[in-house]
Amino acid sequence: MIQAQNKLEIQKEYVALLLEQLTIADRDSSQERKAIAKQYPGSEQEFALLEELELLTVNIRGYASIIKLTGGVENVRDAIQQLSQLSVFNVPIVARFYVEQRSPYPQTKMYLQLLDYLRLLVLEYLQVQGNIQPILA
Amino acid sequence: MQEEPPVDPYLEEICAGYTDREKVEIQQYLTEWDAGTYGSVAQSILDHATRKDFAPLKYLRKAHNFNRKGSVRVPKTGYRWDGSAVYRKGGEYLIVRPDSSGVEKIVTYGINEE
Repeated sequence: MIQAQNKLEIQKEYVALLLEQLTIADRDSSQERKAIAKQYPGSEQEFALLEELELLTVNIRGYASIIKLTGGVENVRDAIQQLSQLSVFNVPIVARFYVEQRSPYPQTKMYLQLLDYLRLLVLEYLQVQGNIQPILA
Repeated sequence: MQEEPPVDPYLEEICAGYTDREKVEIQQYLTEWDAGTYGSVAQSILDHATRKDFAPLKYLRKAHNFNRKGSVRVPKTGYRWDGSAVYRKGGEYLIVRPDSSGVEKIVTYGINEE
């Protein structure tokens, strides 16, 4: 149990660090946005790439921000379920953008990788926490 | 004696440095927002504003002043599978979600051309 708690502490610090790195990566990728908005504008039926990316960002950052502050979320099971579905590559327009050779945008692709890594880290954190919580209660 | 409700540290951070009138304006705008996966609306706004390099009040004003009339809404009516919808107009967008009472709240505001 102590090992799991130590792991949680380290992961919590890592989540906070990744949040900062993601903010920098977000700013670094901003110069690519104008061109991306033109190339992937969305339609009257679909969200644009940048809109999908923004929604993924706020959903993942929200959970990460709570962990950074309090070390846990209110409803772990719901959070795990939502985060499991939030893989950035589950969103068709995002996955297409990532693998397309004709879309260079290296900063945005790096941002996507970092965002998905943060999601996985938060997910793992909550899973470890979910396993030790009943013992602590 | 009744205990005072705890102060949201993020609300204090958002309001820091603003006048009383501006603080009231901030509080008013915050009611238009949904906390989403964040711990509070104030935490959400602070994170968005920091990430997008805006002063909090400026960010809130821009979202508030987004004119939904004449914008493209996706989907046209109702909400997507994840409960969200987007209003898109002139390089700006507003992503919304209904709250538990069905009132549409802002989840995030963005600008494509920065």
